[in-house]
Amino acid sequence: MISATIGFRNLARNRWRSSLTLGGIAVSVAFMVWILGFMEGWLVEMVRGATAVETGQVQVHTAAFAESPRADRSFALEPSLLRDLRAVDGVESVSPRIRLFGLIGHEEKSQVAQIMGVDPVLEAQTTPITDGLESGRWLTDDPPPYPAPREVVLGTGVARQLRVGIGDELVIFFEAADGSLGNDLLEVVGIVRTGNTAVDRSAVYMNLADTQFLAALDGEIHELTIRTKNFVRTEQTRDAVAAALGARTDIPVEPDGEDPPNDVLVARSWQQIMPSIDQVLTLSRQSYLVTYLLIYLVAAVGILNTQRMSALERRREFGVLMAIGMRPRRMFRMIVTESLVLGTLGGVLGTVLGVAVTWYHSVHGLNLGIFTDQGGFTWMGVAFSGRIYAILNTAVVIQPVLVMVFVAFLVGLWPALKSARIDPAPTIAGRT
Amino acid sequence: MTWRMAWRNLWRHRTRTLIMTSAVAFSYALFLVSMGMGDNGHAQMLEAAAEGAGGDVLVHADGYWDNRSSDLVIRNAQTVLNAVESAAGVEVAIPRVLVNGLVSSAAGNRPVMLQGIVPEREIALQDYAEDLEAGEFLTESTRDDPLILGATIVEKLKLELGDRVVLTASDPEGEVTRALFHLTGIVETGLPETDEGLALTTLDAAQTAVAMDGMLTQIGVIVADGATPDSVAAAIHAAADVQGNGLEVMTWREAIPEMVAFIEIDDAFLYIYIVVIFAVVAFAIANTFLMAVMERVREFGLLNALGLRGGGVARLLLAETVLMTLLALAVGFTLGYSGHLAMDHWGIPVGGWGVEDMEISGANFADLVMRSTVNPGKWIMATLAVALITIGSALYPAYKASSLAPSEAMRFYE
Repeated sequence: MISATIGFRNLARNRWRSSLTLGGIAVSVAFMVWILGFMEGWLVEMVRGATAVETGQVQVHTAAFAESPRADRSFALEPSLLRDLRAVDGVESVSPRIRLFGLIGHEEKSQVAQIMGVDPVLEAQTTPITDGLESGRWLTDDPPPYPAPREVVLGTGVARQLRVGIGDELVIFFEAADGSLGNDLLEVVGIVRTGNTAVDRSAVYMNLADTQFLAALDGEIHELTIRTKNFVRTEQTRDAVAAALGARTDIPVEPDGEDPPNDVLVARSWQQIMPSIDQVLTLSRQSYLVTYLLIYLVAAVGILNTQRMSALERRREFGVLMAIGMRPRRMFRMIVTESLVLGTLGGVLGTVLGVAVTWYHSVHGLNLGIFTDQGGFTWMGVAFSGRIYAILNTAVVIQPVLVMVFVAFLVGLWPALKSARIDPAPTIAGRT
Repeated sequence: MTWRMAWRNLWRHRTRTLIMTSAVAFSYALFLVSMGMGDNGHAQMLEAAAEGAGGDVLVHADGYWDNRSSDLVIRNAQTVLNAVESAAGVEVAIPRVLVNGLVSSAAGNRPVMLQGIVPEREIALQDYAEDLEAGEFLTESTRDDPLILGATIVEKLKLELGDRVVLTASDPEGEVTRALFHLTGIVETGLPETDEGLALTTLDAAQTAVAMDGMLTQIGVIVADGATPDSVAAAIHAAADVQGNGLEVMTWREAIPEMVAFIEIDDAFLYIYIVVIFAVVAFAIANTFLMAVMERVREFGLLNALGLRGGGVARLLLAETVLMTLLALAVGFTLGYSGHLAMDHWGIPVGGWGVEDMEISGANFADLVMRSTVNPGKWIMATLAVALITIGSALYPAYKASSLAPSEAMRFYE
């Protein structure tokens, strides 16, 4: 305790020196807080953009469909299924879907589209699809009967490619589950821009009942998309869903390279469905290390030099302390304490500064438009434009200062060791 | 006289000089290495962006890039290609036929973008042959309907080398046509995007398949050293009858604005990062220097008392600082440059951290290797800035030392 007091006093005796060192430490820590806050912001936004509209957090398919999607790899949508699933712990809502590839177009143009047959009410509950409406409206629960054209909502890219707008008519073709060719006349009722490039470029939303009829899949679906109550507890919810359905949690591997069976259900988390997103998440968090290394290395060199210089400057003082009976061990402790106090004070100061700036950016966001006049960019299939919001969580606030205190301790060791080893007599005489 | 004294002074306080020199040298070296890595990332992004777009400058039929429509083709291909090649600053002009279609086998079908290419020219942009997993590349094949597919497509369609593959696509007149190909090669890159979507054939075979004889979809242009995409685009505008031939000429920046946005934002963050590093370096250097001079105020008082005028003390101190700065910069530059060379030689592969897919604005960066690049302008600026800080932080104490009366200075205790 006494060494802490002495350490503190030593630092206070040399105010300008201590404050310059504190300044360097504070800037590094503040910058780390800010960078971490933004990285978390990007990552959460990216995961949300990638999962929210298209996959939800957990999905159920047949094993065969999960391995290689085909129209006939469907399963029965029992009326009790949705009710049972909604009762599962952690499940917020469930949307049953038909998924098919097909051609959509008119006399002049056509394009390959990802057809999503959805229940309008359940899909809107499970995904933020209606937030993405750019023009028109979402599908109605009770569409007008035949021979009225079927309702369709297009991704904005599909609409642009086909040069169609609200009210225009389109024709759709695809191979039904029984090998026949399904086709129908559609009317565009809405256009969505979700920020998920896969959806925006190729998705075509239709009523579940219409697609089931066209694909010869009455009462069948290809996928269940589940929104979980708690984003972090995806794995537990997946396991609970799998237990409720008697499903597996991974795709079974067939020994002879054949496709897995269609009568087995598989429940998977978004991390399993989109491993690349999960990898990027891991990579980005690992890349924090590189940022720490570069920034803190510079800060560490700063602390190290200040400490060595100040130890050098005070060598006579230390010599006297040793001569009047201070043990090398205590001398060592005293100087390490000085470094620790510097690191902690600077770190706390930097955290306050960093949190203030990051908090501002978490509330008001950072306008990306000030860096570029090009609109926005995409990352892992998620569009980023406009404002990006930083996120302040415990790790973002605590980690930089803790790492800094550790760094300060490490770089304090060498000057402390040197000072503890001085020989009082020649040092006091100035003959070193 | 001053310089000799200064030099001797440096070595009389050996430990102090070493501490201060190493402080400046290390900070400066770290600064250089972080700049080198940042600039290299930037340069690689530009390269990947141009590669992803298909060239530094692209020529299509007017409206193709926005619509990707199979009827928007360059009709009198040979004339246009010759005109583009003759434009100033064009290194290579790469003709391509791009076909959006379905490839089918007995096991199913997959959507692909078939590229009909001239391998000898395409190699200037990227070399597909080096990722060839099995079979032979287009240049070795004797067939006139060769097809190279990504490994995932081959697996999903349950194909083997030599198998027949049918391509269904629209021709420029809007007719749906079918054409027969034979699988001659399989490409595996590990990048899902390529493995799931790549389909290559020769330009001739693609033209025959979709009734595009004498037509092209795209001409990708690589600009020669010293020319910029903008200047080359302007030259092509002048050389090829853009209006008459119904063409569009765009630089990659115009073709993929979202990539430009990412690069600009990335640049802004790099800039902030450099400023912060610099601030931390400045704190460290200023601190060490101030301390070293303050420690010697008494010594200066003595010199003063011995008859060295105030100005003389200040000059001596500045001379010491200049010498030390030069020494530190030399050591720092050696360290920083070695760091740069090491980084550039070995590099840190992003893929080595377990990432297969890293999409940014449509380009894949998973095969990126972090290396280092020297941007001479920035390095000179950094060197000047560091020199300025070190000498600047000696100015105040030098002034202080020269303005103290000897009696005061000799009694000075911080």
